[in-house]
Amino acid sequence: MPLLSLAWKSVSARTAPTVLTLIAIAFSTALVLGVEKIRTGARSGFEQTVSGADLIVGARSGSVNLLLYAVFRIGEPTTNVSWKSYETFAERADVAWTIPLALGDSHGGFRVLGTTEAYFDHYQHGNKQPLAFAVGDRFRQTHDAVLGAEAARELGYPVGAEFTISHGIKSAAFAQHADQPFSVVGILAPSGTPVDRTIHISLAGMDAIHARFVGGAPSAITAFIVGLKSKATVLRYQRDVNTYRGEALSGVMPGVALAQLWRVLRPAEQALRGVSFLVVAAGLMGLLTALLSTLNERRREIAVFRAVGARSRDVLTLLVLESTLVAGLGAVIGAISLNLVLAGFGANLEAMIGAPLSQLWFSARDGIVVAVVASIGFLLGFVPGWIAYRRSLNDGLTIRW
Amino acid sequence: MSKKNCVSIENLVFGWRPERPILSVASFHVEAGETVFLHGASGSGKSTLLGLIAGVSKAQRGVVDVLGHPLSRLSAAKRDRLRSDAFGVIFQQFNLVPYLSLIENVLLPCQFSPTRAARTGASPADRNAAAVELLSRLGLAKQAQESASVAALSVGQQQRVAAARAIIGAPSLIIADEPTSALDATARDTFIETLLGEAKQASVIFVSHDISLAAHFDRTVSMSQLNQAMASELKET
Repeated sequence: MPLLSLAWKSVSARTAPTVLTLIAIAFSTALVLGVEKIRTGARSGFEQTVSGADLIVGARSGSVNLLLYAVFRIGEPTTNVSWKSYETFAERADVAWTIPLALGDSHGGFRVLGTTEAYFDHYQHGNKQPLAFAVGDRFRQTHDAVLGAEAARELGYPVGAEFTISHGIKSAAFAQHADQPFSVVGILAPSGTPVDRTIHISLAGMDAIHARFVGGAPSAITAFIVGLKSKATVLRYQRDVNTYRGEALSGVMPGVALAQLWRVLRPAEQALRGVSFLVVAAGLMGLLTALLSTLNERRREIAVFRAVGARSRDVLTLLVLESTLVAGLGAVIGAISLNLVLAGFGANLEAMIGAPLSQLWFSARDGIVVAVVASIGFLLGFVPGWIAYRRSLNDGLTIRW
Repeated sequence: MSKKNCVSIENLVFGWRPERPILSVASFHVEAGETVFLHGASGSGKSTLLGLIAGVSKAQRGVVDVLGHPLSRLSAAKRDRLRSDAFGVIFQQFNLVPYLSLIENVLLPCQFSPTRAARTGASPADRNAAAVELLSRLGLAKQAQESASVAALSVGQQQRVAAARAIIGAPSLIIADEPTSALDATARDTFIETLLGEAKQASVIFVSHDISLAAHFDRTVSMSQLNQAMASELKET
């Protein structure tokens, strides 16, 4: 198609304005894509903080609050769940597995979680990935501890290191349980979830710190995660939890609660998105300005095209093609550069937002954004295109300037 | 209207505003192969007349017949097609597209007219060779081989490239609108001789205000006599 090659030669001949416009459009496209990728990545990472679980049960409270302390280790539960209630719900026939969670202590700013081996068997995140060990193994003894990846890295504890646990979440020195040193037996691989910032010990270890272990069963836990044999029984199980007479309990479905919590962040998310779209609009306005500013000097060139048989429509097409080419090329450059940057910093990003890189790498959405930017370029091309078209009709074969 | 007429104009009236015609031509004919010198000062309606013959503008009244095609009955697209197939146009100045090479500029009509492309050469390589050959005959062999940038050419060289573009693919009619006004006297005569020598088969309408050039052409037509709209206006003032 001769017009396409003419359009290409025309834009590549005007090096400086074309390159600057390309940079502007590439940057703005990369920004939109980056915001979109981090947004969806953060969202799916967030919503997959816990997966494969059917219900989270804790003392009666709002579902977001329960989620915050049971999954994100943020804030404090109002009261505990008694061991008796836990056993009642853990031993039901429709239950496949449960993970008891006992929160309360901290070490070096990291929350200590008392749990059982079921945690390593059944806790899943992301796309139903179980927890994996980087080094070492599960806790076996009362004073064994398994560290999350980030906790291990920041504290600098290798397997075999010994440490003490303070009461409460502050690393204040006054309440150190100095007589109860724990030793690191395992370190988990990074998961991009709050697990990375958690120190895991056994329930027995947790009770040993507080000297409430009176032989037999622990007295209380903070919450527990339930996996059912059949998804079909979730609602019935949840109703039974919420109406349990022995204790005021709440059961929340993690997916529902996570979505609810994410909605709180919605305005910030939308604002970020809005700003990135405005930046693209600014980039495209730059393209329009560049095209319009050349229109006067191109009047002669257009008369020459008309003289050699170009239709007025061809003049319109030429300018629309130029606009589409620059916008499309800029968008493609932006998308490729962004993905290269992601490839370069992917690992950091993955740990930061907890979403696997595979979800952020080239996606259909990239294609859609590139297509949309190119389409807007196409539509904007009609502005100079139409002006040139009208002029070519009026100017005829006279060259005016 | 004789068949061998390349251009036939009868009772033509044209104005940007219909109530104020700027061009009114009772009769104007150019035979096939004939070279016509159209003499007139600026503002005499020359360019307007050329635009009408080239089918870029459309007359309000009268007949403009080019190569047997009544232009008023052709659609805009068909007039554009006829222009690309049958016309070579040379402007006074700024004839070349700055971002195309010398050869690309010469071959520009072939981009829009398959007919002229076919007449120039069967393959892109053949057409390139034809363009280089034509440029060599016009004294631009070195520039063509170096595929020099258009901006590096002198005005006289640019006009010769424009002539090559008008000639390539053997159009039936060459329209030249003051092509020599930027050239000095010697270059002017050489240019006209070369143009007419290369375009032997075509009719030529050559517009200029410089009557000394008239000797090169078969016939001279004065714009002031041809354009009755201007004549009457002149009488009024």
